[in-house]
Parts: sequence; C-alpha cells; structure tokens
Amino acid sequence: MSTSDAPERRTGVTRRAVLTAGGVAAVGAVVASTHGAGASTDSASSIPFFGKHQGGIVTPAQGHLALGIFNVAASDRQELKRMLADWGRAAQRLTVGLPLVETYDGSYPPSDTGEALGLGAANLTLTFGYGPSLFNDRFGLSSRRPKVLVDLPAFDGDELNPAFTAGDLCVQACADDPQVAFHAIRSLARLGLGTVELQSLQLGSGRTSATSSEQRSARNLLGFKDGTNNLRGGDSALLKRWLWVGARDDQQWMTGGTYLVARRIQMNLSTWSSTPLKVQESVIGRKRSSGAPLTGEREHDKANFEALDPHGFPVIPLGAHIRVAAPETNGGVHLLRRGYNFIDGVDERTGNLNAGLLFLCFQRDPVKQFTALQGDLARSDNLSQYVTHVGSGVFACPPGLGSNDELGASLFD
Amino acid sequence: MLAALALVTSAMLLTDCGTTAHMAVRTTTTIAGKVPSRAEQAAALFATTSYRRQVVQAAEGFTTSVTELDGALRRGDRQAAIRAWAAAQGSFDLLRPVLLGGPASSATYDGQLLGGSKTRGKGLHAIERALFQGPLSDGLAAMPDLKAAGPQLVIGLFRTIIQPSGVAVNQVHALGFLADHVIANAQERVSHRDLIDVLAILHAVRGGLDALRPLANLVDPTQLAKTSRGLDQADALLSMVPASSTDAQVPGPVWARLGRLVAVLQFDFGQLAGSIAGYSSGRYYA
Repeated sequence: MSTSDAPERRTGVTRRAVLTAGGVAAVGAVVASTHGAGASTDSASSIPFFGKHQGGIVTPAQGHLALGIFNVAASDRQELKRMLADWGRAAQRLTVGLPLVETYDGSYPPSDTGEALGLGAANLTLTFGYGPSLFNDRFGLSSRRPKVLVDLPAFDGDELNPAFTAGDLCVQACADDPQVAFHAIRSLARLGLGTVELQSLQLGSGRTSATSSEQRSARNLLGFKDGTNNLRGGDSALLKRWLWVGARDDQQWMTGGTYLVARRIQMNLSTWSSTPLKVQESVIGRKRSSGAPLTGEREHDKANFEALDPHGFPVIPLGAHIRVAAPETNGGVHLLRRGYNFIDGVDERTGNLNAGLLFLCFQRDPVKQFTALQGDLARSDNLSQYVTHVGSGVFACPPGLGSNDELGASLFD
Repeated sequence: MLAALALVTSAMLLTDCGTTAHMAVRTTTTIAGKVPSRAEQAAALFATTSYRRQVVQAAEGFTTSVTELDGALRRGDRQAAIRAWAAAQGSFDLLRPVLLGGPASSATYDGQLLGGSKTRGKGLHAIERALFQGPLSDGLAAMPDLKAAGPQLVIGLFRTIIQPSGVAVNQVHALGFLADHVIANAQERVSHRDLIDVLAILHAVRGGLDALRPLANLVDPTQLAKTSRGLDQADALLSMVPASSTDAQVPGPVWARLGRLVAVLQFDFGQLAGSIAGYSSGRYYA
C-alpha cells in the first residue's frame, strides 16, 4: 500500500475539509517533486491545468472521454460558488495525477474512491462549462449570460432524449486512460453531492478528430476518417477568428473562453453496414480507404465541388456530407471538433448496437457557427438518414485559470 | 452474368421541388467483362419499371388519402379521418426511402413528434395528435402542406433515377427506419399504432423484393431465396398479432424477434444489392 493509501488522520470527509486540509495548496510543490506527500504523480504525462485557456480544447485529443452533465440542486448562490471553487481545486490535483486527499482515516469511507491510484495523470484535462439554464433567476446570473449562450434549436430529425439534453454544468474529462477520466467525473460528482446532481455520464472511447498537426485523422464507427478539415491547435489565426471569445464579443468574463456544443449522435450502424461501399462513399463524399475526397487521391486533397462525371452529375453529390459541411459552402465557418466514439451495448428491442458519436465541438459563437451549420446539415446532408441526434447541449467554457484564481469566481464577481 | 460494361451508373436522385433540399446519391462504376444477357436486361428493366410503378401508386395513394383526410376532418368524422390517416401513413412509409429519408421532407410530410417545436403542427404526426388526443380541428393546420405534398411527390418522382441495386438499397433504408425509428423508438406516440408503420414498411419491402425477383433469380438465386425466407418469417411473426393492436398489445418478445429479423433482412438486401450492382434499366429515368 502506498503512503497515499494510508489511513486518513483527519476525521470528517466534507468537501471543504478534503480540499483545504488535503493539501491542494501544495499541488505546485507536489508536481515539482513527484514524491511529495507520497502521492503518485506523473508530470511527464500531465497537461497544465493553469493557463490562458482551459485544457481539453486545443490540447491534442486524448484517447478517452467522460462527459458529465450536471444540474444544480442547490438554490444558494454562495453554495454553488463554493462548489465550483472546490471543483477547481480538485481539478488541480486530478490533472497531475494526485488523489483528492493525501491521507485517509480508516474509520470513514475514503474521500478518494481510489480507482485511479497509480495510474498517473494520463494527460487528464478537465474542461468546465456553464449551460444556458445556469443563467436563469436562481443564482442572480441573468445579467452575466452571454447573448450567444442560448439553447440550441430543435433541428429537423432530432429525437432528443432529455437525459442527454441541456444541463446547468458540464465537465469534459479527457485522458489517455479511461479509468482516469471516469475517476475525475466521479470525484467531482461526489464533491458536489447535495449541490449538484449528475444528469448523465457519457463515456467515449477512440477520438474521432485530430486537434493538432501531429495527430493523424481517426476513424468514426462508420469506418470513415473524421475531421480531416478540423481546426488544429497550430492554426493561430483561424483559432482567433473561430474559436476564442474576443474581448469585445460580449461578456468580459468569457474573454479567452469558448463555447462547447455537445451532441449525442446515434449511428444506425445496421443500416450503414448493409449499404454498398460505393453508396457509403457517395454519402460521405470521400473514399473510405484513403479518406481522399471523391475528386482526389489523398486525404488532404482539396475537394473539387465543381467536378462533374461524364453524365454531367457532380462527382461529389449535392447532399454529400463533406459538401454540405464544408466551410466553402457555409460562409467559411470552422469548428474545432473533438468528438469520441461511444458504444453502449445492444438495443434490447432491435438487437442492434447502441453506438455512435459524441460530437463535441468548440467555437466562438455557437449561433453563427454550429447552429447555422447544423441547420443545413439537418436539411440536406445525405448522412442524416444514417444518424439520429439524441442528445444536445451548449455550454460556455470560461477562459483558463491563473494559479491564484478560483473556478467560477469570474462568473460571480 | 454482367460484364463488359464500360461504364455503369447507379444513382438515385431527387430534387425536392419547392424547397432548398437537393439530395443525391450517385455511384459510377467501371466494370470489365461481358454484356448482360437479353434475359438479364429484361429482368433489370422489369425491376425498375415495376418498382417505379409501386412508388408512383404510393404517391397517388398518398394524395388520395390526404384528400379523404381533409374531407373527414372538415366533416368532423373522426373514424373516417383515422382510416384516411392510416392509409396516408402507409403510403408515406413506402415513399420514405425514395425520398432518402431526408428530414426536410419528413418535417413536411411526417412531422415527427420528437423533432421538437419546429415540427409541431406539421405532417402526419400532427394529424395523429389531432385524431387521438384532440380536437379534430387541430389537424387542419397541417393540411395545406400535406395537400401540396402529394403533387410535389409525383413531380419529384419523375426526376428519380433508380437502378436495380438502388431498389435493394432502398429496402435497406426502409428496414433501417423500421428498426431504428419504429421498433427501437416508437413513432406513433399518441395513437400507439406503430403496427401501421410496421405492416406498411414490410409490405413495401416485399414489393421491392418482388420487383427484383426475376433479376435476382438469374443472378443470385441463393441470396434471393434467403431474403425471401427472412421476409416470410417476419410476415409469419406478425400474422400472430391482430393488425389493429396497439403497441402495448404486441408482446415484447414479438418486438424483439421482429427487430432481429429486420437486422438480418437488412444484411440480406445489402448482399442482394451487391449481386445485382451494375445492372441498368437502360435509361436514366426508371
């Protein structure tokens, strides 16, 4: 048993006690010395929690996702504020591979659930977001709501399940180890007991987008490369224009932040996998093997939407996914996509796989970007017949924290 | 067997008149080998002309049912309206894969309840709500769109390009809707009469298979027999359930068995599409 798993000396396991007496202030020191307090940390595989922007956005996409959607049960503004601050302190520890507490009192249930002990940080990032419903009258935040933070409209074909839709808060946990990501959300949910309730926990495995130039495009469960034209972390000019909220955009507290749109997209895999490959490629507009557009040879060849076949029909069909979604046909709109595959067993009524895509994307203005784009996709994307959107949410992700900042403080102050 | 066709085009295209929706699925395949036999050519032509006839009849049936529905709503005759609504729904279920399941068309014709406020008051689901939940007059709001839809459908179908393999792919899509939207996630959430959709879709799928039968019998009789058996099993399963049953009256194991039969049928139609790929009706407009 490691020293971090030794009996807790303190009594009581309240959130405040855990995080204040548990040594959060010493996180910096602990990171500097990976042996500090006997905790298992792995700074070599950790993503800095502090910074201008939150982690988990332009961070090279990790392999696993745990997405927690929360609703606030408390009605007291100060209680919510305290909990967010505690979440921030917990996040500092979790993202360097530390458990929530250093020591344990065997007389009590352990404050850290323990499943991530010894797994290190695994490049864990925690990205926090506020849903539109947080800005109603409950917490006196209505004047702080960014004007572009509004519930997404119902799109044609949506079959939304309330369990996966909306929410007051979201936490996106991404890591190279699924258990680390799960542990993070579980820990935050336990810290928030009584203040927030976990509406849903969605697990994704296998990134479907590359967010850095070093990463190769991944494949979604349809078998096609996804996110070929995604924004990447190195695209500074594009990120400034399409990702980060500017100082003059709206609410000052969001400067340097961004907006997350989370859509749970059920893939009708039985239908897709019974569809001939040529038709699949026409629906996407790309070749499955190489990822090249139907008018090209290599993945990153520019699609030629003007090209016609010998019969005069577009080589890339009018309803092909890449045509309808392309920036060229959408006023140049870009998104930073950061999706993950999900696999959730078998539908008991049909015997078909319950699987699909947790489509996550970040943008500067969800109204002008995601909503405008999805409106077109829902109307005319041939891929629509193979997918069903069953969950939907939008969240304001504030900028990153300085080492002396508290999570949520800029929202309330 | 098929061969030596320098260039074979298999495509489906629908221009949704009066809207901005343009959908196309098109494949161009170069195949080396010999030309199809006269019998195969005749069977391919039969497949497309037969399927086209079914589709046009469904569009005309849809128009007729909508007219009857409109009259029944205006007369306040709920029972006649329910009959007309069920008939229109059945026709639409046959047409759905031809429209490529485009949500744009669904909003107008179908108006899925789960689509949210945007589709409220639209399509056949708005009618369903009026018929089973509440005043009949509520259904009248959806009628202008539905009445306009029928003629638009017929016009649109004249621009539909279909090849035999496309007929098979359409059955994959029809069965996909049945599995993913009817069996897994009930469609008729007010009337709880999903059997209307189930029976209509399976009837349409059988029509599609019948259209393909001569060609499939020449090209891949084994796959044809397997597909036919699967469809027979589904029909036999449903024959044990009265057609007027509500969703709750259909035993859970029947739904589960049906779901699994549909998955196998989807796979089989996909295989059939591959077997007959490349056969053309000999003209663009089937």
